[in-house]
Amino acid sequence: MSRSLAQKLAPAALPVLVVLAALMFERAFFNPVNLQNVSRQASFLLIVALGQLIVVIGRGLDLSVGAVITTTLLLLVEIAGRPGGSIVIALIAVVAAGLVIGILNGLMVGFRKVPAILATLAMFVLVEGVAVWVTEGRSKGRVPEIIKPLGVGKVGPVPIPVIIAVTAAVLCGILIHRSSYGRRLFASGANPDASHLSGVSVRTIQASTFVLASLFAVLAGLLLSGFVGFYDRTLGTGYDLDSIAAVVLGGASLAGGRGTVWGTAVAVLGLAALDNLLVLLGVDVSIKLILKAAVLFLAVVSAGWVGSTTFWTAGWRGKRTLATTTKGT
Amino acid sequence: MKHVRLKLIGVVAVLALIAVACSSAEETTTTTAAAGGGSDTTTTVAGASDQSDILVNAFREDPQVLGLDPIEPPDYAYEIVNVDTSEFKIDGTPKIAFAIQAPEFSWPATYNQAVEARKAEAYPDIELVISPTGLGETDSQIATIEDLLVQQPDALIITPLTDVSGAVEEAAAQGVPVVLCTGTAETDAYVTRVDRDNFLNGAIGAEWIARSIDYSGKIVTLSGIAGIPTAEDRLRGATSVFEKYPDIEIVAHEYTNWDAAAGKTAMQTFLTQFDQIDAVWADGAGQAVGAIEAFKEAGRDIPPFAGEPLNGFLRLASEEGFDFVAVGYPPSHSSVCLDVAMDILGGVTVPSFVNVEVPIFDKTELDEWYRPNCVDDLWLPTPLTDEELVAEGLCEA
Repeated sequence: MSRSLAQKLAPAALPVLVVLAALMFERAFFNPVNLQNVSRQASFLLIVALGQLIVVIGRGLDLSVGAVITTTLLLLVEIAGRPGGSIVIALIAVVAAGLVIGILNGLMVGFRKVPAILATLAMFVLVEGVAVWVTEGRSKGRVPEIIKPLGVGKVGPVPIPVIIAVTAAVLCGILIHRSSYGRRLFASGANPDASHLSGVSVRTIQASTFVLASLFAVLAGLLLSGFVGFYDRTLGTGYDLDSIAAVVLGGASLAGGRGTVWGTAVAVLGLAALDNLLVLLGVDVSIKLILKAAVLFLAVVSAGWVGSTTFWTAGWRGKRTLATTTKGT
Repeated sequence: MKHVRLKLIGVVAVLALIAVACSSAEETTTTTAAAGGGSDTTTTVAGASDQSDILVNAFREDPQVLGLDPIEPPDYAYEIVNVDTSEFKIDGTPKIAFAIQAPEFSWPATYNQAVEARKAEAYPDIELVISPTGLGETDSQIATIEDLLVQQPDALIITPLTDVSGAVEEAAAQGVPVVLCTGTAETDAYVTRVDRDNFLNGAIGAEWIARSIDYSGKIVTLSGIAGIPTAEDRLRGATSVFEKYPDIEIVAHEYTNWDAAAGKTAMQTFLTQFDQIDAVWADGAGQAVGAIEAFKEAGRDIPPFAGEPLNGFLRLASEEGFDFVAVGYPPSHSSVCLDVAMDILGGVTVPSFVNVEVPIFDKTELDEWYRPNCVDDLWLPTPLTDEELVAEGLCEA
């Protein structure tokens, strides 16, 4: 097996392990309705993770995507969820909010050289603060009915969020793997100085990644709003870190310049399946957290092994050789 | 009302006044805007013996408003004592600090509003310093409390978002009396605690669930946040009830952070796993509405639900017609905490625990509680007047 193929298949380790565990311990996992649920849950995270992937390839990190999701719900409820409210204005507002947040993140990170983790954390706090200020803690409307099919609807047996997420993944794949923008993105992330010297506008590329991530989060927010159907001020909580975990598990490097849509999608599927299986098994919450942490840790470590040049040049020469070479990497 | 028991602050105060007038000499004296100012004297909460009676009676009587058997009170219900607060009596205008939960969503927003409203109504001249901390920022709450102590308040009210024992002890060491308002701490350095007994709330919902399925069936339980006393106490109360009935099986339990999304996701999973779910016990309305949506989406009949009086939960009950019980935890009880702090600064003997009475009702009372002209995100009963609700955009005129 070539190194390239192994790298592509490595993210599949988690979903494969989950499926094996489900075969052994909980066959209800394979219930078609449950698989629909898993795929729908995965689709929400996948959309967010696609945006995060673009940011990470560009050598960044976006901790504000969860806040964007919650803001999307908030604006929908406040603008379109009241009597006489307009869904068109609400949609314009959520896209505008996403753009503003993304542009501000991009300006801070790309042009002001504020570390991405600080800039987007600040944005997260700012957005949360503005949301509380605007609403005074209370939502004054309901999730508009017209949005709900986006989250709970199906085309045949396939949930609409899955169709949208797959479409988004394909478009994202074309953007980053098949376009000149993608080539400049990878180059900027891998070696910003060299890219700059070769004429790539690294700052603009990096700023654009945050705008794209924010817009993906808006899309996820729309679908999640339809799925929940209620105002839930913690709707986006956790999507920031989960999306980063998915991207890293999918083989992307936090040092930038590496990552694939395929790997991210498979990792997302694995995480969603793991969450689902743990609920099905009725695992105690403390054990659940420990298990998830262990799986993530092992997956990241093994991903590091798979990606390691030393590992592949050493090849399979027994445990001792493997241990030695791994230690040396 | 036949099946409703709602004793709010006024009722408690009236009971206290009656108790004072009848016999008790130990919990008399003062509470006015100028604590200890020697003006007209009233107590705002009943004393320890009365509080013990109130709590013990709550275990016995609250279930009966639903026609359920009394619940055996736990030992701690009998352990409420009087606390002499004469050392904290001050003259002049009190300065009270309140380390409160940030109004990030409707429950704390109403909670905070109730404090402000109580101050404006009863104690307009006091200095009230409010400092909020966001949920999930539990560590920073201790720093917030320390910042408040620097301002040398006469009394400190804390809404503990976690165990703030160290900060409570620090305040006590500085001679500042502490009132724990909605929550607890692993220390005895505070003067008193004002809260609803969450064990009781959980147990009442569970007793109602048990009866609704004729003491036999498969149920799902949905809790709030793992490790938070409010959620854990409610779960313990529910579990203590379900354990009494061998034919009731808890087929699944999940923590949902009181989130609609998490409640829906968990219930979707359980619906694929179990063909039979006879009832759902939820310790909060947030996850309950999500779980109900999961039943709707799956095309399954919605079984009896235990939840809370959130207008959105009641809307679903009205639209879908399922059987339910709502056991309240009204955010407006924060105003009682201010009353108690004023009592302490007036040197009034206070009980070590003040149990807040809550609304408890089932489907038969739905029309009296559901506000179809108001938003989902409205906790009932609300401290706001109809005019204020309309003005704030929470209800239509």
